[in-house]
Amino acid sequence: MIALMLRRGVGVIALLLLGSCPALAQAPASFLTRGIDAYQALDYDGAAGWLRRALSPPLVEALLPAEQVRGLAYLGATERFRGHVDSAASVFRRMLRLDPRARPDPLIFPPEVMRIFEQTRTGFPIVAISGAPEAFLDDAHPVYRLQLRPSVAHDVALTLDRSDGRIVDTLYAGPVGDSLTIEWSGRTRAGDRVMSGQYWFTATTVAEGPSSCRVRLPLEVAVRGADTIPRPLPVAPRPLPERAGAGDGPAAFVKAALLGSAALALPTLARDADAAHPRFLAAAFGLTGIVGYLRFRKGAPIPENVAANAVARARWQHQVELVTAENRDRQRRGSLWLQVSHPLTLGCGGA
Amino acid sequence: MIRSTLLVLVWVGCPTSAAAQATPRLSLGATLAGVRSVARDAGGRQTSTGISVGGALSIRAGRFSLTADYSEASLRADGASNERGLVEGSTTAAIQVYPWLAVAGNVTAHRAMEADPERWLTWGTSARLELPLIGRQVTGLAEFRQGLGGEVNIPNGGVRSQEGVLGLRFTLLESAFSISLSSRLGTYTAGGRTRTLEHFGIGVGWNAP
Repeated sequence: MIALMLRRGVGVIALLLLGSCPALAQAPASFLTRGIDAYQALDYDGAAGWLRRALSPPLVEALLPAEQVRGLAYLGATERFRGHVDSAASVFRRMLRLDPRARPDPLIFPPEVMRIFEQTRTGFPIVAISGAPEAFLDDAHPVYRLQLRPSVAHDVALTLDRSDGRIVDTLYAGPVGDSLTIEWSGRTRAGDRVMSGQYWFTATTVAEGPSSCRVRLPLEVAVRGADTIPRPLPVAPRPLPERAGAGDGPAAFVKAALLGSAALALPTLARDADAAHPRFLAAAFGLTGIVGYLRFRKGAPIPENVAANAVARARWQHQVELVTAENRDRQRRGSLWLQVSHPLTLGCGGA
Repeated sequence: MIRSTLLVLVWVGCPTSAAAQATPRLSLGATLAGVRSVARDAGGRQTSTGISVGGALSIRAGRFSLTADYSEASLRADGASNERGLVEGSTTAAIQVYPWLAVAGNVTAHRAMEADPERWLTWGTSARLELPLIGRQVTGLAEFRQGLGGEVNIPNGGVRSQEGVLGLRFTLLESAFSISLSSRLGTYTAGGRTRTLEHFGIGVGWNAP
């Protein structure tokens, strides 16, 4: 007992001394090595101290994911041999959150450690999402591939979510065994190309209980090479008046009267002209002027302008539809630049 | 005359961006008119009347248009039993200055098949007004041509000519067809001889959509 206390005390003093050493504080990998060495020397308390320090913030941030997984495997085994089974399970869950496909090496760790790990793994379904950190989607590269790798075979729902949480599309829903590759074409559920912005690939474990996990992969999308053409302006910037104004009727009469006067004056061009026909025409102009005056009294509808405006509107709407379709097509043909970051794990009970 | 014709051709062919980009549009027309011809010289005056049938072809590109028309008439002189022919033709190159005003250069020819046939050729300028009277359904037309020169196969001290046209054109709503009523009066003077031609008739027109 005294020897054990002395050993723990020495270990703690040694940790405190080493913790104050700046050189070692900047080298968490050395803590990891010391912890593993202590485990191999059956100094489990010392190993736990070194490993927990190496695997705690801020030092853990300097370790590569593979080093963290290795350290967590040793820490889980250490806790098992210290008699802390729950702590061992918790450490193994942390290891699985980091990499659902990670396993302790059975050549290094004894069966009792592997047994606890397997018990933890089967009760802790979680899936890892991975994909190329950067990618282009265009005609030559029509899909972006995501890999789902579960800790244990289970049902998974993979969705593409907007940054506001709304689901853009469900990419997969079903069982995932060893691993699964999902292809995404860069489109929404409606078949349109997604717009530029922030998105998430979210893999949700479909399982009851507190251990249900969601893993989210941040995605940034930028649409490139999809310049759209502007919406066309109306054919006639100002539509024709559909009702007569106050001056329209008198103007029609005056124009007809001028032309009628010109008709009456036409025979003066030639000495031998006959005035009968020009007079007839002048009368026709006069009649037209009267009809025009009455037809275009103030506020009277002008059917030809109504019809012309309707035709102009229909043409413009047709052009707008053409431009809209062309822009949609350009959007579809435009390339997408994708950039994904590190995954985040949410909602895992007991982790 | 050749120089004037070249000037007209250069004027018509002078490219502008608007004309170059416009799609040419075709118009066709046919006319049926009563014709009255009066020939006056030192020996007196002879009046002939008859019916003429003709056609017109017009190509418009942007603000520019080129029109050619042709008509033939059979005329009978007062107190005579035999009929004589009258053939007329003209070519007009116009530019639309405003929607309601066009100015043009034109060449006009007519030949009266009389005992001593007369062949008149005149050229000049013209201005044409088109005023909508009842919307675009009824349009009033007025044109005045002033001759600048000409040739005729009778002794002359220069050819003078003037022509006036007035008419009404009826277009059905959103239709390519139109009907017109017009009166045309032309007077041609050379070497003490004056020929007056009057037309009054109807025409139908078709504008390519």
